[in-house]
Amino acid sequence: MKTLIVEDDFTSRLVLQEFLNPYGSSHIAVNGTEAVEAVRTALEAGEPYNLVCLDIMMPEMDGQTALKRIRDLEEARGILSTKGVKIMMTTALHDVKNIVGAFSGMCDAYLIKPIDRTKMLDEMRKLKLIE
Amino acid sequence: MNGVIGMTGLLLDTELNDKQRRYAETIRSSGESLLGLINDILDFSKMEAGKLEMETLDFDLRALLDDFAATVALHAHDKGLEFICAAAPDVPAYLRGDPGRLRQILTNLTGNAVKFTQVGEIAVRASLVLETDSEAIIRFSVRDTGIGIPAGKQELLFQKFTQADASTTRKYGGTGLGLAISKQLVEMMGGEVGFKSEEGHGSEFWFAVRLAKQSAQERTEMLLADIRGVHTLLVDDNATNREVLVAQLQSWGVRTEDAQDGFAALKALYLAKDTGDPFQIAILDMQMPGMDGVALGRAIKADETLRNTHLVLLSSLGQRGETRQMEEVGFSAYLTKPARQSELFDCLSAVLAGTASARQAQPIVTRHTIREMSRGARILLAEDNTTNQDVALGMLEKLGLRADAVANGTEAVHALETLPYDLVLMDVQMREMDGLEATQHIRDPQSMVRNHQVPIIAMTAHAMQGDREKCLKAGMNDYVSKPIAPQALADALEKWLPREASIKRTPRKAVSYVDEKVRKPKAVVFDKAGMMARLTDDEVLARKVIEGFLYDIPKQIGVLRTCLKAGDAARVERQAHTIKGASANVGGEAMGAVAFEIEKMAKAGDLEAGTARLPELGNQLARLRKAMNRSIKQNNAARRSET
Repeated sequence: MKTLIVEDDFTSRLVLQEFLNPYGSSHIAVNGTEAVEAVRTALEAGEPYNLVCLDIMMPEMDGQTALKRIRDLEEARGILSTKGVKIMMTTALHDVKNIVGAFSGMCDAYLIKPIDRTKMLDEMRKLKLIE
Repeated sequence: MNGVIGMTGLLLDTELNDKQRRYAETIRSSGESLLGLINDILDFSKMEAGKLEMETLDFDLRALLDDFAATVALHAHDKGLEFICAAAPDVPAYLRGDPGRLRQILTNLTGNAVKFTQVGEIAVRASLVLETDSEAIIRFSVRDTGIGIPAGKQELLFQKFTQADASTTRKYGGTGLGLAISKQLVEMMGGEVGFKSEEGHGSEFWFAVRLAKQSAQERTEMLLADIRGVHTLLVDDNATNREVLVAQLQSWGVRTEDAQDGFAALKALYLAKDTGDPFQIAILDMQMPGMDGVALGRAIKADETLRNTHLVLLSSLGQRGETRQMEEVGFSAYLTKPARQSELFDCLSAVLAGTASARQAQPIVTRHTIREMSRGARILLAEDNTTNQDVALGMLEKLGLRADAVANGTEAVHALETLPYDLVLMDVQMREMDGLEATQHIRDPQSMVRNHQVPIIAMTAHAMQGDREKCLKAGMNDYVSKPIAPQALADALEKWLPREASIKRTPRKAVSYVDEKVRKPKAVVFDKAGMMARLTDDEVLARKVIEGFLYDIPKQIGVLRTCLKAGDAARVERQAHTIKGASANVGGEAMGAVAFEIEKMAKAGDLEAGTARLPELGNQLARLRKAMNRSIKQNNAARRSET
């Protein structure tokens, strides 16, 4: 499994990396702009990510905007959201606006920080990323 | 017994100090145990004497299960247990047999399940074993997630006066008669009973009985067109509950999908919308971890593109009075758990019918509208025992209702000739003229009573099985047994009080979306347990995360200071948010709370206040570091002493 962790905070990144380590390699982006670039490069190389863990409140470009850009990139290539990369929001924000925004932007799961390993693995299982 | 239990109940609703409350609660629970014992012994002596006879009556199994569920659910929910009660869709509803005894067996098995279960769920299921043209064999099972029964004790179980735990310091009370009685009853019905259990993993008690089928055709078929094909989403965190409701809905031809939490629900809603087949109805469980039913409802109604989905809230019994809030959020209906099948059906039909008259404000559908709607109702209470009168009047008062009391049937008839009552609560056994005779007078078109159709609810002693039929035959509408359970009385009133008696409802308040305040205890410096749980107790990983945090976070505080100096509110907000998130990862609650304060101040544009809180952030980090070091030292010491 190939994962992109989009997270500006060191500790949160560390936690996610450690959770995901057993399942494959993970790349890091520290803001939305980097994330969109990473997804584009991977798509162009024909080696798309399986999972993106996406924080919302980040410098440069926030996670909600990045989510839309990523789905736009996929759509431009004829990839529908159900077939696209699984995007898991990993954020401390849990207000209605953000949650609804993320789902209407076609995220696949929404995890609230601090992230719980059991819950995260459950979500990954539900998304058929792991057994 | 009605006097003891009822008056204690009323006493408990008065202002009492802790000691008095404890005493009164003991009286009540002792009274209830005594009543149970009396009924058990009564049954048993009848059985021993060969005097116990089974009745053969037409009954509706689904209605029986629904009624039964409503009473048991209260106890289960009191203990925080999920309670599920349902018949499989293929189980025939219209049967002949002894419904009172059937209910007694179910009550006994379920009562045990509630008693021996501290966490989890209790599921009562009825399934069809075999069906012929005239008969059906139906298996009832009561499954719990309780303490289970040790293998060595299992054969004792159905003997009278024995319990699995016979020590004098038994944790759980009981006479040891219940199961023995149930077994006898099942055998009298020509059935068998059994169980399987594993200590620590719960038990499943089951019995199968043969019941005759009524020849009448089931009526529901023709009504189904209403809801067939409707696209419905069911959201509940409890898997058994989902399974039961989905099966029920699908048996009606409702196209049902389910989701186990708010997030999955939103995902399903957006997907359905995108594929051009949006959900028409979403049924949301109230009590879900994370995003609860109300929060999810708000989220759905807040989005233009989802707003047309009708919302139905499922909530546990005993959580009422929030109707207006539900309405404000945008729920069309409100059902209490466990939802009765007939209610669920009516509710969905009503909700869909609401679509037709779009603009008309539909009143929210609820089973608990007494308090809100029927305060103006005029009720007549006929009861000759003054203690019982006080009990009933007290309960009615608690429901926000008032009643006039009379002491016998003659007075009741006279009262009904002079005043237009909305409902009569009628004791069955009274001097001069009893309840049955009074009812016949009232129903007689020749009598002077003003309203011959006034709803009459009988009140009679529990031990009198078969009384219910007598009452209904006499023309009464319903029946509550003594000692009167407040919930049973409330349910009966709800069912029979005419809606015209309702007072004008207060106008709606302005919609407010203020988030409910989460009452949190004071934040702890280092919530190690919480962090360990999130990291699945992985000590090595925890160490790594703590070290990473302590290495990085001073830098982040430095960045925050720079942003504050530069007067960049947006960056301050984001940076404080980052620090909050980092602290949350390591269970640094107190530190996270300070960071959150600064985040909010920055959002409000008050950087001065934010700067003033900065030193506190440093202090909290120092305290957190100390607590972490202490815990790591303790761990090392513990490990050394182990080896």
